Amino acid sequence: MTIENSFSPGQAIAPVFRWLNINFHAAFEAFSDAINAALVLVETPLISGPPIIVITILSVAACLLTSWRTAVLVAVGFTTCFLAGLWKETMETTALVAVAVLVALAIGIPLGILASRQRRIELGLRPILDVMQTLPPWVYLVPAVILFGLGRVPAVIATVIYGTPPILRITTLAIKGVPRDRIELGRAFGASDRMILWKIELPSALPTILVGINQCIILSLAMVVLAGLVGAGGLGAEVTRGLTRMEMGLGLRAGLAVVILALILDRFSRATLTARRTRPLTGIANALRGRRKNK
Amino acid sequence: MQDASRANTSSDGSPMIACDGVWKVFGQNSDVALRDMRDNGLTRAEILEKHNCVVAVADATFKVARGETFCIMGLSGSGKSTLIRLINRLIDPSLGQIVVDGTDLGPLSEVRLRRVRSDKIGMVFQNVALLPFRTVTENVAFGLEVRKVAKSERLATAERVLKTVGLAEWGDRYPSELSGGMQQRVGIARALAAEPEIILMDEPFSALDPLIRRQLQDEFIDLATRLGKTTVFITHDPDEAVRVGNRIAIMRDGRIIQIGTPEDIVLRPVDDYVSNFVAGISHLHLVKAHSVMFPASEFAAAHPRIDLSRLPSVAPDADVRELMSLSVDRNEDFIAVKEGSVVGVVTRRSLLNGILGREVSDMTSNSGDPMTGTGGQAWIG
Amino acid sequence: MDRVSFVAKLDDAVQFGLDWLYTNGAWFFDAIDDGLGEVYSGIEWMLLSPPYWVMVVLFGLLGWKTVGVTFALLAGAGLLGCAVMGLWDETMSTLALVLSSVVIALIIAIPIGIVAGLKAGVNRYVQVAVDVIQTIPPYIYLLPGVALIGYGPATAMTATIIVAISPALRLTALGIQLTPLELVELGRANGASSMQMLFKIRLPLARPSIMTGINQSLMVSVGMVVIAGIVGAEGLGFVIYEAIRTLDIGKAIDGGISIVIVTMVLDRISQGLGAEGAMAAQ
Repeated sequence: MTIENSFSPGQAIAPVFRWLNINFHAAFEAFSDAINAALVLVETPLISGPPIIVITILSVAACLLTSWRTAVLVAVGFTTCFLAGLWKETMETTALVAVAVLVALAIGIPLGILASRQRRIELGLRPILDVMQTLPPWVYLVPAVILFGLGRVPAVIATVIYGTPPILRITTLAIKGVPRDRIELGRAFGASDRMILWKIELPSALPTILVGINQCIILSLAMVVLAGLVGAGGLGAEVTRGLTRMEMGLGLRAGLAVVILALILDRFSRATLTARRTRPLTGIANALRGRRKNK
Repeated sequence: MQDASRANTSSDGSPMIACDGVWKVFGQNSDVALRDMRDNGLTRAEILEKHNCVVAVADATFKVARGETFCIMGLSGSGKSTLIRLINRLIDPSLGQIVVDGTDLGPLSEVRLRRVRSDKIGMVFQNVALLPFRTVTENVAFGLEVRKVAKSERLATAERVLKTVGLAEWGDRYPSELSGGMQQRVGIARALAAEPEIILMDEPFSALDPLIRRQLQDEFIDLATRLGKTTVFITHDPDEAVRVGNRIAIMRDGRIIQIGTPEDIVLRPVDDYVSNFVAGISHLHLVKAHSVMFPASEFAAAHPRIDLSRLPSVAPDADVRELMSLSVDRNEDFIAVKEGSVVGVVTRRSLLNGILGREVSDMTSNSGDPMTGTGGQAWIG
Repeated sequence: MDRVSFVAKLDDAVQFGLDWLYTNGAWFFDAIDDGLGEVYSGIEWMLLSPPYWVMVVLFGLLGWKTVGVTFALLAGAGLLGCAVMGLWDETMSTLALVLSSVVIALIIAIPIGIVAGLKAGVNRYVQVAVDVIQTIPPYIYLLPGVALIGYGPATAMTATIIVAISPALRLTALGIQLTPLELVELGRANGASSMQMLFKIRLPLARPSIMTGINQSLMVSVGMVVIAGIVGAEGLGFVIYEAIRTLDIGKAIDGGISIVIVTMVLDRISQGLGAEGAMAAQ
């Protein structure tokens, strides 16, 4: 008697999902709708506006928030995507990444702050985060697809689950890394805990947190592209099509667009980090206040 | 140089800060350890061994008068950093009472305590702790920001205070662009901006070069005097304490072992530890004429032929340096000390003894009849 | 011309270019295909030929030696679990894929990393390249392989190798770069040649960093498993990919558990090897 192939945990657990699917269907539907609504909210302006206008707006935003170099990258990159005939898909993917990252940040950063203050929470979260970060990304796709069907919603959910642990950890690390004497300073001047958090801890931790956000964006993009396999649309779906149907032209174009988008998102989030003092936006604000511009 | 008498004559007499029997013990069984040390007289090391608790401050009692600069001096581990943080209750005392401007800090709620800190007490830190992501002006305005002062008003005030410390044009710069001395001036400006009556300074100049240190000490003395602030100043440098302080408290192993004017500490150290501590200090500015003079009557009795009114004179608080200059430049053997009328006379010998750190009382207590005989006359000479 | 026809022309050009490469460069790509394929098959054969319980014991022993008894038992139990779920062959295939990819990646990454660590100029380019590689979603790295080699383990391996090179490269360069100055001076004062410096001083000191790089390469390669499965490489990735496509929850969970087991085992063992090395170096 061999023990090989004698037991399948999967078969044992599968009924749970079926049960969940049947009993909580309405809840899942509502959840799906919410996510879809958010996606539509973000992508409609991006897709329905004439590409030229959208690209211009994004470039200008990049210029104000970072530097002209990044703005050029944004302009050239997105134009290339447009010329490659993949404008709509690029914007769809961007919207997916945007929504997923925002949700991940909304969960990760507050939890990260909480964990930095309460040792018990930090210790309790650690094994969970460890496991979540060891598991490869698509592991989260499976249950998400089971419960929410194929499409964009499981992609967003899986991406959020994948992207939250890194930002949570980095936020905790960043807050704990704020020099003790700065916090003592705040207390000595009579600042409340809330004031200390917003005026001292978060600004001090911001550079590190921005690094975490950059990481979150890159991971999310990777996940969203992979989710093209399960009907998430966008560039991921095009890459999958190119791969599975051996349409190499399409594959190459889609691949190129993904690379461009990755570089744009990466550069942009990193440049926000380094350009905080010298960016044009600060200069304009200072000029309006009538103060001397920084050197 | 601070004048010890000045502090006592200001105000209505009630102290600005009063600490009574204050203890701070760190550790799990701190209350048990505290009682053991207090009742059974164990040493700090013994308490650490027995209870695994650190006694940072043991039975500290002192008062700081309004407008006074009170120095707390000690080596690392003496408890001075803990003591200063007990004054604004950044650290809670294990035992004892701390009263600041008439308010007992002990029963205060967190909210009220914060008000006291933001309104009444300013603090300057050893490593400055400027917020690197804010401009200098924004840093100085921090205390006012905590008090919820409107933005334009607090920035204007901040810029005004910056002018007082001589950094008016640096307001828009970031801390990283300033030198260490300048950063600490910003730290002082920040503490002053909210116009607190009390300033706590935790080794503010220790991290700076010696030359800058002297400069900042002088600037600080000037500011504190002009603005009438009450200051508690921590240092491990006896020279600094003596320059800056009206009164000095010396701490050792958590206890305050002597409190007095700089002159007291130097001339009348309570034990060998204190005298070793202040051994290197120059007495030239510390020791005053009144400590090294012979009373006028005694002198007149020993030198009846000398006309006291013809002698060159100085005030009782003239320092040894001034006496020396007079003695050398005018080649005078005797110098009268006048406060209205002549109250005493300083001789070359007593002057030299003063430099050595000995008072007149030391001199006359020795053998030799000061009035008659060979050893005598020459004695008061 | 309007955009649609422009795009169509682009696609045609690409196809044309690829056809050209196919005909003229066939020998090259076939060589890669075969070469990688051979390495993979070789390792796979080694892992699959003994009966499963022998491998379980071997891994247990390895775990015991590098980490500890508790881990050895857990690892053994975990791998046994893979067999229990009927996924032993796939688990070993996946392991073969990961190991062969990482070995080749290390052969490329470590020498380049050493050079980068020694020469700042090279390091600059290397850092930029690693940056770019790590920014791009790994899924994309399947494209060149599929275009030029076709489906199969070789394509999966090319993508995995690209991804695995980055951490190993970066950390090797870092380790060499961070050799404490005093020790470099010591070597030079004793008249050591560059080679001696490298092997006697720099490499031993860079060892912890390099081991971390190896660990990260392994982890990142395991993450590529499903991507490998998409292009037809056998193993757990393929199982899971199929399960996702057919919405077979049970199989997907089984596959997922197996991957997790492989991940944990590889992670702890490679960390254990690193720690051992660090202690030996002292």
